[in-house]
This record gives sequence, structure tokens and C-alpha cells, in this order.
Amino acid sequence: MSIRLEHDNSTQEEDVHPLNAIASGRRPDPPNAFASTMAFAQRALLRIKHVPEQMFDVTVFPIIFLLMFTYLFGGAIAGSTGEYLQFLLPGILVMTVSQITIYMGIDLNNDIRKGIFDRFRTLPIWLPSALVGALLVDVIRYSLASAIMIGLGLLLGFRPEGGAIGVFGAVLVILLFSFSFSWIWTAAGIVMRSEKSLMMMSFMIIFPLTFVSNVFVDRCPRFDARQRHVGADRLGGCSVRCFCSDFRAADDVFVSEQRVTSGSSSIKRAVIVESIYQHTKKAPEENTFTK
Amino acid sequence: MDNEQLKRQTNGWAVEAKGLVKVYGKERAVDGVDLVIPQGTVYGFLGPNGAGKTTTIRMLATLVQPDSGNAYIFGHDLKKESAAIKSRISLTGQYASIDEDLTGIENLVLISKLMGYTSKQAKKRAMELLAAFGLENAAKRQVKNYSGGMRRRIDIAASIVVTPDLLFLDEPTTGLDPRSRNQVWDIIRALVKAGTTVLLTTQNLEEADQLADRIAVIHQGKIIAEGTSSELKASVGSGILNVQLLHAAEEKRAIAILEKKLGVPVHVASDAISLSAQVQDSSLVAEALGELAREQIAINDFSLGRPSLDRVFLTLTGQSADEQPNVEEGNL
Repeated sequence: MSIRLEHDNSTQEEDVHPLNAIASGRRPDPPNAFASTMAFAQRALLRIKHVPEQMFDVTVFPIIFLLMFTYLFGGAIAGSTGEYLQFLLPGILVMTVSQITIYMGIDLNNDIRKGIFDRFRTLPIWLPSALVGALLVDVIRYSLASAIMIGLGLLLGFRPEGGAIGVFGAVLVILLFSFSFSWIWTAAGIVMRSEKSLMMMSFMIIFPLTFVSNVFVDRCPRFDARQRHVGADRLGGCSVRCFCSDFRAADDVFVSEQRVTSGSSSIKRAVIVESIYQHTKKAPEENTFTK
Repeated sequence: MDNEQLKRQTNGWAVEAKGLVKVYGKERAVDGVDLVIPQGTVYGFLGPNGAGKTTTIRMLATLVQPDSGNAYIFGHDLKKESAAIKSRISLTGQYASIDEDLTGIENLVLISKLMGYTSKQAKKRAMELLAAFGLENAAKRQVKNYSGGMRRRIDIAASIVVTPDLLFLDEPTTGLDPRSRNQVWDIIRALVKAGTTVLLTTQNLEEADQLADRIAVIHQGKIIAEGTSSELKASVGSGILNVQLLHAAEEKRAIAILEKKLGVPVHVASDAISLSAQVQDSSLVAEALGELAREQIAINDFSLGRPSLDRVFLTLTGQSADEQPNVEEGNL
């Protein structure tokens, strides 16, 4: 082995002395699934700490949307803003939270492109914990967004007829729905070339679906009559309503997606994720990294 | 099986690969790579962009599955025992594979925890590594504000949170200034001293020369030459003679003289006055230049250089390393 050390003469005092710390001693046992999931959840929390702007989506946007649609269109659509708020809030709750789900895919896409995901994949860990940990923190984000919107809604005069239990149930449905929905973006995040194309695709799907669904306007001609009869069950029903009851196509997509996600275990999903990854054309960083 | 493994391990191979192939679409990114790397050594993959270095490393690091062929890492079957392999290897990718939004210490703590350390141990280990890599002052800064050299160091630090038996380094010094490059080289040497086997890729012959015990030259997914750096250099001759003529009109005569005296083909650049030849024996050079003078062929400039990566490629493949992308398209 021919090592040359000429440059050693030029090294200065702040130079590295790695020898001391290179040997780590005994290798610890690999972490269990819970420990690695928690480590990834902590990573997601730290990211919120360092990039607090990302919380705008769950705090400021819902407020803007709710105020805008209630007071800008409320009168025109439902006759009075108060009545429209009653109808709109559950729908806009679903809309906001489904939009936040995109970021799951975007984060994963970034991790893959930047190569950090490669590092995770060479660690002796239960790999899905990288996604599950991030999802756990997302659940917090979804809940926060829901809480803010319902709180604001209550201030503005929203009176859920389902009561506290109904509201709680509705939020649970939303959490389950967004959890299932986010797997679409997770899968897309693996195959899409860039963050931008993923954004594009997700908006192309989410926006039309939101507007043709009954988030803003009940497409049923017997709008008023139905409103009165649905009554008590409104909030719980409404949150699923907008995607499931009226819009058949969306219904099929989302229900089958829900079935896929809830039916298969995380391990299966990891296998799908892994196989998609294996079949993507190139190592991600090889074709997209620009810097 | 156990016996076989034991046998393999006593063979002392860190990596034993046979016929590795990876195809992406029509492109054979890796096209039958055979490889043996003894434990405790540094092995260098030398080749231009797109030669298949990274794909080979990704296969050996269990990140992509080979389409055919197989490899044994410390006797573990790449296809069947990826979990066992993962607990002995570590990968430092081509780009800093750490979370740029997190601080240096947060990154190292995260990786330490994922390695199985408790929170307390993880913090201790992270501090140890930061100190060792001269990054103490930057511990609480986000990695996106690090310089290129610091990123590389934190990246390597993350790879050795638990000392790996085999470390893959994908172009560890590409884009670094000479000082940072020397620091990374020192780190690699220290790692090897601590017993780690290193497989590194590089586009730079000098780097391979400095660090690697053995070098494989990769071209279009195949290993086209393998050996120690001096063996490789010997295979491409002792150096390259560049001669710049004063008058383009004398080109043909000059070529004839040089080819006769040196006994090797002479290449002419497009300007028709720059000649170059791969010299097998540098003692012939003086004689050849003397002959040019006797024939009264005026020379503007001449030089005798050491073989470069470009020259290794020119000789081994008949093409320049810079022309690679075009050539590959042509062959497909």
C-alpha cells in the first residue's frame, strides 16, 4: 500500500483527528420497530422546528379558506353566510386535510432524490418505520388543522348537530381518510422525477375532485329538502359525504384505496414501495440531482 | 452452509462478486462485473460518469438487486442475507445523504438511534464524532449551511457511527477543494487503519493512486482493467509525450520520425501541430526529439506527462473519457 503523506506538512491545528473516534466499540443491537419509528417521528418534529413555514398549511391556509368561502360565496350559494358555514365547514375540513397529505409524498421524494433514503435503506432497521414515523407526526398536523378549523367555525357560528361526539368521530374519519389518501402520494413520491411534477400531479387530481365533489355545493337538486332531513348526522356524514355519497368516481377511487391501505399490512406496503423503487429507471439521484 | 460461510470468511474476502448485471431499459448499466476485495484494503473504482460505478456500489450495498450474477459480502449471500449484510456495511452516497434541514448533531443522533443506541449513548457518540471530525463549532448549525468539505465530513461521520466492516464511498472528494480533499483522504486512511475495508469510486486517477491498494477501471458497465496503480500505469506506458510543431506543414514528417523512434502510434490534434504519443520507455524520448532537431523540424513546445485518467481511458478503450456519453449512445 503506497500512502503518501506529503500534504501532512501543510495541515493546521484545526485539522481532523478522526482516529480517536473511529472505533465505535461494541455494535449495539439493531433498534426494534418502535424505537426506529420514534426516531423518525422525532426527525419529522425537528424538521418542523427548523422549517416552521411548513406549518402554514395546517394553520393559516385553513383559516383563509374558511373565511374566504364563507363570506365571499356563502350568501350567493346558500342564501346566508351562517347557513352556508353550517354546510361548508365539514367539506372544507376534508379538503384542507387531503391537501396536506401531499407533503408526505413530497418529503419522501426529496429524501430519495437527495440520497438520504439510501442511507436509511442500508441501516439494519424495520424500513417502513421511516414512513410510519413521519405519518405519526402528520397525524398531529392533521389534528391541528382540524382543531383550528372547527374552533374557528364554532366562533363564527357553526353548530354541529352531531355534538362533541359527532365532531370527534368526524375527525377520526378524516384522520383515517388522510392516512389512506397519503399512500397515493407516497407511491407517487417514489416514481415521480421531481417535487414539482409531484405537486403538479397532486393538484391536478385534488382540485377537480374537490370542486366536482359536494365540498362547496351540494350537486343534488333537492339541496334544501335533504339538508333538513339529514340533520343530526350532518357532520359525521358530511365529512365522508363530500367524497363518498355523491361523486361516484371519486367514491370508487377512494374506497378502493382505503381498502388497499387498510387491508394490507405496512410490511406489504413496504414491499410495494421497495419494488416500485427497484423498477424506477435509474438511481434517483443519478438522473435528477442538479447540484 | 455454515461451513461454507466459515470457509469464505477465512478466505479473507470482504467482497466476492461474480457476473453482476444491472439493466435499466435498454442500457446495460453494469454488464458482468467480477470482483474480489480482500478484507482491510482500499479498493478503487475508476471511471467516468455513467460508467456503472454507482450502480455497482448500489448493488453491493443491497440498494438495488442485480438482474443476474451474485455477490458475497463477508460470505453473506447478497440476494438472501441482506439483513446480515446491512449490519456490516455502510454507504456514503455521491451527494451528502443527510437531512439538510437538521443540524449536524441532530443528524448524527438520528443515525445513532437508528443504529440502536439509546438517546444518551446517541448524544455521546454524536459529540465524539463531531469532535473527531472538527465539526464541534458547527454542531448546532443546519447542514444546509455547511461548506462542501464539512458536508462530506458529516456524511462520512454518519456512516461510521458504528464502525462498519465495509464502507462504500461514492466519489468522496468530487467537488471538494484540495484542503478538504486531503482531510477526507486522512479520514479514509484512519478508517482503514481501524480495520475497515473501503470501496470507493472516483473519477480521479490521483485519488485512486493515493488511496487504493487495487484499482478497477470501469467502462460501459465492464471492468476493463484491474490491478495496483503501478500495474495500471505500466499498462498504459510510462507517460505521454506531447510535441507542438511550429509549422503544420511538417506534420507528416514529424509523425513518421516519432513513430519510428518511439515505436508507438502518434495522435494528431485537430490543429495539426499538436502531436501526442503514448511512450513505453521514456529513454526513447530524448532520442526522438534529437532526431526531430536533426531533421530540422522546429518545435514550439514539448512535454512528457504522467498518464492521466484520460490517458488510461484512451489507451484501454481507444476513446477519451470526455467523449464517453456520445460513444455510449453510438454503441446502443
